[in-house]
Amino acid sequence: MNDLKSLATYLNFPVAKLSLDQKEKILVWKEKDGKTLRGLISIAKYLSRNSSHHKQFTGESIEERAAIDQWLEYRLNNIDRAHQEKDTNAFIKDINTYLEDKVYFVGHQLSLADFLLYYGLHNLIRDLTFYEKQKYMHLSRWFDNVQHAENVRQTQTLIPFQKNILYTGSAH
Amino acid sequence: MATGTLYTYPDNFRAFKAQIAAEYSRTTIKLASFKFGETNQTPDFLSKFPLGKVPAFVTAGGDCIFESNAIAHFLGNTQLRGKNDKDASFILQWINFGDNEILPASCTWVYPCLGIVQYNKTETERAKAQVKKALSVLDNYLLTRTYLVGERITQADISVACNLLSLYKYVLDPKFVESFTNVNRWFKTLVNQPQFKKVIGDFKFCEKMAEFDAKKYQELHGKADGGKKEKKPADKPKAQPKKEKPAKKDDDEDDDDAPKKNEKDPFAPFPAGKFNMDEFKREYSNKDTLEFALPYFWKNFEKDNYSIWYCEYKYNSELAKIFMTCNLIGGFFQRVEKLRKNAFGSVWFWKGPKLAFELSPDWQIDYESYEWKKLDPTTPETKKMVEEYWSWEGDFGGKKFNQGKIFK
Repeated sequence: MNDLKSLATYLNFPVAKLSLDQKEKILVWKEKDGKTLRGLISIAKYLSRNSSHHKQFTGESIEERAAIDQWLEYRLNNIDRAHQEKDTNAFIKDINTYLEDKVYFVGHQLSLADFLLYYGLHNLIRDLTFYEKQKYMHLSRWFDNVQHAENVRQTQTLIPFQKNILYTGSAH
Repeated sequence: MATGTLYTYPDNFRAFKAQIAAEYSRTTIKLASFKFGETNQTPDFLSKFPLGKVPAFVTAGGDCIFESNAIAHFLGNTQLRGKNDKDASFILQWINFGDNEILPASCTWVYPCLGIVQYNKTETERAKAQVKKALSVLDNYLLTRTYLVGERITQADISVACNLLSLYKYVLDPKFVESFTNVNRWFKTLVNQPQFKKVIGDFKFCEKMAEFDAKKYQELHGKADGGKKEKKPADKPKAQPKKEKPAKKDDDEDDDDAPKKNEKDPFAPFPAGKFNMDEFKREYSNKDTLEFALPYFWKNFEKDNYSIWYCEYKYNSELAKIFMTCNLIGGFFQRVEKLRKNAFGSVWFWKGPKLAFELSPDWQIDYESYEWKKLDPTTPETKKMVEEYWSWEGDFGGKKFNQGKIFK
């Protein structure tokens, strides 16, 4: 709920249109004319594609838009559904390697993928030790960069990162 | 709001620093119509910018700013300049790093590949090592950071990236930079920012390391000389037709023996002879010239195998300053480096009866700017000349002696 609220704020949409269907535990976006949208991904796409925000946020080319969709799915399938430590470890490693040669997930600027992954990973990264943050250096570097965009972070807590290498001999 | 007129030639990485800064601060600047070598030599331009260099900038208020980093600073905004003193200091640190640690080595390495200056293997190898070192420093720093200072793009990123542009464009092939993942990531992200793209266009990464382009060098410099000559009518037009001919000739030679060109010793056709060049050079370097080296030379010199030459630079009027002469001679020595085993000089001598420069196209770059006179080893005049020029003492036919350089 928090991530879509922030996204609506980020893209200048009234947060009041967002609600939670208590029975089905699903997010609902209600327009004035009564039309409704259900679910994180569909609402996120709807909002970003309807906003006047710079076009890199939703992807400039068909390829970029597809890549963003892929990461939204990744969040749903791999991050939101990870309950065991071994699932978590697997996708953290995955993402860390992916980000080695990239500043942002898709293209060369912040996109919807970065936005929703930041929210999806926040609690997990908050609980990492400094040793783990250094071990997953590329993930940490990306996260620290994204959280320093005030309009993305909004009310989320700022997570501390070390820019100096604290532990020697560790693989990163 | 900061605005004004920028003077630069197109595709100038120094001007890019300022132009990209202006994109970030959304400042509109006017580009002056500019012709290199003309606009910057007009009295009006020189009265504003005595150095006659670009980029140069005239603000809307009429202030004149030169030096690219200063212009970029003027055109930037708080985000680019640093939000506080600490950030601003770090930004300055990286701007200077780019100018001092990257740029000189970059020029040494890249310019010969573009034919702008002559290739020197030692220098290029040293430059490569310097670039590697600077990239390692950057790479370690960027492992934990997205941008150089803080979490947003600053002038530090803009300026350092601009200093790396020609390296990444011409010589940093994927293999050379494969270990610099962090620098690559940072640089690729920067050149793909809309503000960068608007100024530098679509950046194309180097696929294969460029090498020294001798043909291009001769083309460029043939032309450049030609241009100069038109302006100075004196004795130069005479030299020009001469210059064209041997260039063609050495092309033909290239074709003939291209396959074995690399291994061939240009002095091979001459008999080995008994004169020991190394021995003589040791004699000259370690002992008194008049007392030991000269007698050794005349005792062992074989006038059938070796010839003695006197050379005079054709364009002495250009050498107004001593350092210019020094540079000229230093450059000449560098270019004929491979002659070293078989030649010695200030009054020169080498193996073979003809001008040694004709033996290899590598040596022909500028020998024609000099007048070469073959000396008769048997006459007393030659002996006197050799003695004077090697010992750096004497009247030198009325010329004033400043300092000596010997090719050995």
